[in-house]
Amino acid sequence: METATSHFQLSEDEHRKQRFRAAMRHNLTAYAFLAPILVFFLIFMAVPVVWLFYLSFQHDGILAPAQFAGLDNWRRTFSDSLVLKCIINTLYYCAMAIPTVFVLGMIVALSLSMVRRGAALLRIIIYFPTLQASLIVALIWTFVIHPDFGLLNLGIRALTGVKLNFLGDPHFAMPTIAMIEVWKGLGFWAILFLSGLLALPQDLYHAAELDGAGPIRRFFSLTLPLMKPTFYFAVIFATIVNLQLFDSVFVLTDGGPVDSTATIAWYIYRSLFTFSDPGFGATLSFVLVVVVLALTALQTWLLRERA
Amino acid sequence: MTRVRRARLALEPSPAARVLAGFVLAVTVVVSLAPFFYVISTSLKETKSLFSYPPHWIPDPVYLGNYVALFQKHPFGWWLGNTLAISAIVTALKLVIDGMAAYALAKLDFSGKPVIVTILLISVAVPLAALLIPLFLIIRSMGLIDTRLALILPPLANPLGVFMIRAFIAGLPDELIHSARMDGAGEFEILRRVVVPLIRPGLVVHATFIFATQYTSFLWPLVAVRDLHKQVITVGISSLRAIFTVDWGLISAASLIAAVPLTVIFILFQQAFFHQSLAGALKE
Amino acid sequence: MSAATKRVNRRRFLNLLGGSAAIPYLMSAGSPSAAGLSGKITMIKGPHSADEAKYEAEIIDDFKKTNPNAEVEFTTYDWANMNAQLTAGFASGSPADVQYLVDLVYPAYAERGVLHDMTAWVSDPSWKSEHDAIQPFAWQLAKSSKGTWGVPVLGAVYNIFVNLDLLNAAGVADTWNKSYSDMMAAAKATTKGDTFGFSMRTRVSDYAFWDWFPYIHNAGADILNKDWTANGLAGSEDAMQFLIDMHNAKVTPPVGSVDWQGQFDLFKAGKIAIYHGETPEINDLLAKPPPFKWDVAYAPPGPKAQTVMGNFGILSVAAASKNKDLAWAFIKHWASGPEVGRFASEVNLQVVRTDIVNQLYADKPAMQKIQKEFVPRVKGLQPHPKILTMLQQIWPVAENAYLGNLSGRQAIGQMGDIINKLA
Repeated sequence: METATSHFQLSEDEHRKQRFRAAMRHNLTAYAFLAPILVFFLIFMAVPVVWLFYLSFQHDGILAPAQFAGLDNWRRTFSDSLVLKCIINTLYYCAMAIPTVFVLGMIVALSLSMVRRGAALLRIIIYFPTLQASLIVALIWTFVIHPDFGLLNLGIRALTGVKLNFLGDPHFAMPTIAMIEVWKGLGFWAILFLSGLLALPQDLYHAAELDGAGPIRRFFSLTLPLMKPTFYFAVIFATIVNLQLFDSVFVLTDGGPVDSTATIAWYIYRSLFTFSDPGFGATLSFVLVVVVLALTALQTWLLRERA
Repeated sequence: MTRVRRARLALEPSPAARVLAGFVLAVTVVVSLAPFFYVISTSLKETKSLFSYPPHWIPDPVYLGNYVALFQKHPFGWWLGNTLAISAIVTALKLVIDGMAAYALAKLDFSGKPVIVTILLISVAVPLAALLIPLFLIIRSMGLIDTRLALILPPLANPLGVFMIRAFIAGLPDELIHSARMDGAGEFEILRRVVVPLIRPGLVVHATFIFATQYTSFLWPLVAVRDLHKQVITVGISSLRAIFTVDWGLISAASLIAAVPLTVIFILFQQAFFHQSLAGALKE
Repeated sequence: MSAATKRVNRRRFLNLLGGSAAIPYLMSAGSPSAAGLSGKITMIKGPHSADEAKYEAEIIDDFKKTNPNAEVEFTTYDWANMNAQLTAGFASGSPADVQYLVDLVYPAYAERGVLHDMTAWVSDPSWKSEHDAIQPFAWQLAKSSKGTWGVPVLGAVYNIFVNLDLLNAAGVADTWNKSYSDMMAAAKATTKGDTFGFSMRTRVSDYAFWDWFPYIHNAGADILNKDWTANGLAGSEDAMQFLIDMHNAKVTPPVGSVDWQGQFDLFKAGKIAIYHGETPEINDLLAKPPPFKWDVAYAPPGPKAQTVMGNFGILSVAAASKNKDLAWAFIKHWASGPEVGRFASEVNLQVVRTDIVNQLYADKPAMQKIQKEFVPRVKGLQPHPKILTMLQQIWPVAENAYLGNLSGRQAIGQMGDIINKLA
């Protein structure tokens, strides 16, 4: 093919080469930026996941040398009724805690958006429980749910004369833990939703008012739809975090009563340290990863559709 | 310094709405703070019991021995120091690492981008509890069990922060970057001089979040560190629960002191939370 | 013979040779004229008091008198996270040389080979008098078919505390302990208003099985049968039924509503007549005397026996220890009469030695009673490697039963199935 030899024009070959070199430069720069996180990610996330997979086919491997176990651990996972109970308990907990904390968080966020004075102080107070470690929250709440002098029972007894057995009754134990986690998480979600509310475009509201829409109508037709991106992020993030419930269970109930608060993360911990059965723990870990990914994918798919 | 945007929801709320809001907030404040009342009261009593029968709400006499015992009989100072140091180091490192990666994902083009994004995105969903075992084995093979490095390095791997900062950076107009490039600036310089100042509030949000997560982490330090002098505060407080009796006075005092640094940090930085429209940046 | 077997045989021969050459060396090391052992070891133990470090320092200082070149570093694990910390310690490859392990957990570690078999040491003739001073039931706890895993040193007995004032007021102080039905009657008689007649642990997080064991043992049953091949719970159905009845007779706080420490608080406030507790709580009662007369007791006799439950700790050596001789020397010192006696009385625990019991607790009649009358009655755990697993897995069944959802027969049946799967 004839190549142009004009001063300002490069041949097609040279064009390609130049583009290639530029792309390489870009890639190099980009990967240089990504290098740190990728290195840590590789060592402390990717390799562990692979190792997890390997461990799930072994017996032990931590205290005693690993012995090949074939599909033993996996078979156990599917035949152990406690595994299913853990999954159900964890999902039950999420179904209770997440909608509750979202509704309450939204109510608090709306209220916060309406006050003018003392907003900063209010935000700090409301966020205070979120700042506590789960462990400490659980310890603190032991006071609150005490049958005789805990605030809750004092109030409930005053109103109805009944004392509730919060953590001793298998029907109440998980809801109680959900209540505690909602209390802890409320600040975070309220603040998050508040940020979302403050970002909403004001002119739409003015227009709506001019059209005669009342506050309630505005809320449902404007606020909620406009907050969709925030809610999507919130649901997915909340699910990921709450599926990993461990601290409160470990401190307050150790899975009881009658395994009603046994969660997947709790059972993983148990398998590793009380049963010293890392192979089974590894298999359970995969179960947890699969559940989290499945739910996240499901949610992402469901939510993306409507956007 | 720009002021925090006044909370304002479109139009002036009606007086009725204001009253309702005030009521909701009052209830929330009470509910948020009430449990701590028990903790404060118990921490100032010389008691091991949860409650006495009949209960004494106001400590009389006020007893400071619990607070003293924390520092004298337990390495509480160590726990606090370790936790603050580790949280600060992780936060600082994370800001740099995540910032760089976020910039690459948001504003740089490179081959393999969708693959990297997908992998990192999926890994956000991988829970720590699942990784405890292999992480322990890896740290052990690096000879880092029972060291503070064991507490600093693994948290650097979680890519959630990358996506958070990426959202902020993506909101910046491309022209800014382009013109800087035209001026001959290298990418790192662009990140440093152009991008970072613009997303500073977002960075502060991220930093606070990382700091809080590190400060309250429990499971990993429990497993990775044995030496009580290298331990962090969450595990330290857990260790105050002896098998025969739980010293509620001591634990209450410990819980309160542990809450202070994090609260202070939050107060200092909460301005930034409301500068940046956090949710606005999440509109992807 | 394969090359590998040849190698192994040669190694064993050399070991034997080395071992036999070492015997005279070891014997001389024990004599007071030796300059003592040197080196550094670490010891890890769960704290039994807030002054644990101080008491341990006393023991270490005494040890240094005969072994000035030895260094012992003492650390603790915390009870709430004991399993995690011990496992992590062993897994790290450099665990503490001397480990204080409770009977509940050591068998699992022994089975995984992280503990050093002490059979040769403890059967050494030069140590015989010390060995025999420790009660046989304690040695039973420290042994498995594969070896001896530690020297038993301390124990805590799970006794019942009774509020004598409440029992006297109901006129049952002399009869409550005679039989199970008498205990039920006494509980009913002493329950009124906000006072309960009876309490025992029910929560899995409280290790409730300790309180449950005597009733099972009193029926001649146990978790495992004699050769540990299957569950040994047969015969305990009635005992279980009795406990279920107790918890459904409205003589106890609502099941699971109050944890163990909460029950102790109630007892101290005079609101429980018969409380299942643990001997270190005596310390509490002596330090802050409650406004009533109290005493210690054990459960009424069952059809086959009248036992007391206790859990015990042994001092073990990690297999990965690099200075096992020093570790053994230190353990011998720790377990000797004067040292273990002093420590036990400082923290209010029981010793398993028979020779020093008369010197202990002269000023604490309740502790003395426990040491002299209760400890000999102890029937402890079966140190099976999966014992903790079994207990944790069967306990939800017990919780369910206490809530009134299962009969004694059903509960024992379900528990038996679980144990059989694990044994």
